[in-house]
Amino acid sequence: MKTVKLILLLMLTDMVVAQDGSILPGQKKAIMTMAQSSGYSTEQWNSYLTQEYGKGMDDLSRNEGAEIIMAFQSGTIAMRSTPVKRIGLETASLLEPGMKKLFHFQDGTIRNGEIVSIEDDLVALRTTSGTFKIPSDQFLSETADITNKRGELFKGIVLGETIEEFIIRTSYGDAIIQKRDIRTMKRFHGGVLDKKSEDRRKFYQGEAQLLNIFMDPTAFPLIGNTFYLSGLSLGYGLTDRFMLTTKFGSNFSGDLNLHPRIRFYHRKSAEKEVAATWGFGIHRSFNINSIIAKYSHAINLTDIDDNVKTLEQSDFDADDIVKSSAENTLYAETFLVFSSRSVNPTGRGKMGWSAGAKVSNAFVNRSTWLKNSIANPDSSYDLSWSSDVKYKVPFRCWLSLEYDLRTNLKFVGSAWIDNGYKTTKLSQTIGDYLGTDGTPAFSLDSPRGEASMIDFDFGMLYAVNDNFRVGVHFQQPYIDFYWEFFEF
Amino acid sequence: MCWRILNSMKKTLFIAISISTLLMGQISSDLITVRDIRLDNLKRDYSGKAIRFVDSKSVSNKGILLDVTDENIIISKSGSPVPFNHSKIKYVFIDPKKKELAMVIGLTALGGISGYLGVMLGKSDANNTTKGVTSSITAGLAGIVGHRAFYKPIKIDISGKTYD
Repeated sequence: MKTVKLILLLMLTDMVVAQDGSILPGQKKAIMTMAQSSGYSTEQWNSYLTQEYGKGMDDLSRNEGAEIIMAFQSGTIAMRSTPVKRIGLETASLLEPGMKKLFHFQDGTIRNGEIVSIEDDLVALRTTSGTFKIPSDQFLSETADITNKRGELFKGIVLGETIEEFIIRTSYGDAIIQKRDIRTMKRFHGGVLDKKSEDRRKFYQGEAQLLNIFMDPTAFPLIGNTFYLSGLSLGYGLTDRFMLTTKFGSNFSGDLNLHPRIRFYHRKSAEKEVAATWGFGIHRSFNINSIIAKYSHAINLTDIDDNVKTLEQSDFDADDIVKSSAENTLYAETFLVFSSRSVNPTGRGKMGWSAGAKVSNAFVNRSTWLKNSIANPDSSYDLSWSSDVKYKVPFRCWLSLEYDLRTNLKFVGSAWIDNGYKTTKLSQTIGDYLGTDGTPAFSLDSPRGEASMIDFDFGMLYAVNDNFRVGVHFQQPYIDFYWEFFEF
Repeated sequence: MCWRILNSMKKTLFIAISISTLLMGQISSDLITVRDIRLDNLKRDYSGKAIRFVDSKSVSNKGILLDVTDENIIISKSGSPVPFNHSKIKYVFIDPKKKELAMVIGLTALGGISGYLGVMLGKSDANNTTKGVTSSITAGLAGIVGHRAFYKPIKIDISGKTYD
């Protein structure tokens, strides 16, 4: 009996001892697989084992092996946080006390702060979260490739950036490049292209520089040698202060027209740009029906009982009331507009306004165009222009606003006083533009709509790319689109 | 005895503050080349125009810009050229003139006319008082906006500062 007990004890002891023998090959394989998937290299893992167990992989016991496997499975041995150091990133070659901007670092972090001092290659960077002492080799270089609108290409270290300009140290000296002159820019941090080349939270100005807000001009004309094409007109900037446009829809219907615009006053500083422009337009053969249609609410129809209603309220069209002998007329208009653009205090682009007024000769000889009377099966009417003082002269005054939301998105709004304005529905506007309502195509001169002499509109303008812009708003023409081709 | 100690402390404090200020003043990212470019631009764009700046003695100077050399800004004061060392001048101002005043007046008139026309279109039976008051208010508002937009001096940075 004693012998049996002794044998059992020996077997048990052997079993227990056998459990803590050398690590099994299967355990080693499992551990190495898990170590690698946790981000450890062989060297790093050996170093870990030496630190934790004081021995190498082959010297571990089975129990230790099992313990390590369980530790991996339970997450006690965490994923190794591999240093994010991006090998090969260029370090900043120029750091100076007083530099204040967004700094990019080797470990991928970005901090906004000011360099307070540099001692023994240790940079003291003051941020709103505290002052950090960072080795200078952790600061990434900041370089840029900039092409301006004249086609010049600059490559170099970005020394600085102000509201208006970039300062670049090129191989041949320092260059100051005005942001407004930049056509394309690639910015590199540590030699790696930063796809968000410009800080999204702060930018100098939106990509779209507006010539018009909806249908009203601003005081900033096209820059020299720039071609412009929209759905209604095309134009060219002959100089930085003089441009010409023409409404091609009217040209195709025999009404040749030109609209010169000259900026006679301009002042620009780092934060603000102001200008004043006057322009005029001349049409050699303007369609009288367009004038009648536009001012149909100013034409009175008086029946035999002296009841008065306007042409707009009747079922007659412009064609019905115009004398057959009336010919198209020479039409001229002139406008004056003041504009201002200034840097948004938030640093996000610019905001601006334009205020202007326009008058035309549309009412000259107007009394000779109308028939004396017109009849329908129900009644006959005497025709006359309204004698109300507000219809003495055709005019329009406007106040427009623009606001950069992002570099490629602008909010625009406008309010106006116009004694000839009519609001039309989208379907009417499309018909008018395409000419399906009997008026010339590619122009907006519909006789339809409802008079709305004091009104407003707002919408968004999106810069699809450097050349093409598209806008959406809530009054006719509802959709704006145009192309600008620089150095055309 | 106490007064002497106090005076001595004051002196020490004063000297310490002065030295600190001087040292702080040195902490800047001014670049000579950047400054040179800006001075060249000033000469190119504003020669022959009236400028104003505050010199190193905190005195405001005004005159026609004649030349910008490596060390001086030369302006014409009372018909004779006067050089000013520009090492301590950070900004030069161009003050508004008659043209700017004309812009303000133009915008004021536009505001007044718009107000008048707005009343005319919006309220056919408006009396002269309403028209007068409205157009005066809109003219006044347009005048204020115009003054702020057009009648402000232009500030030209001629420092070597590279960061805002």
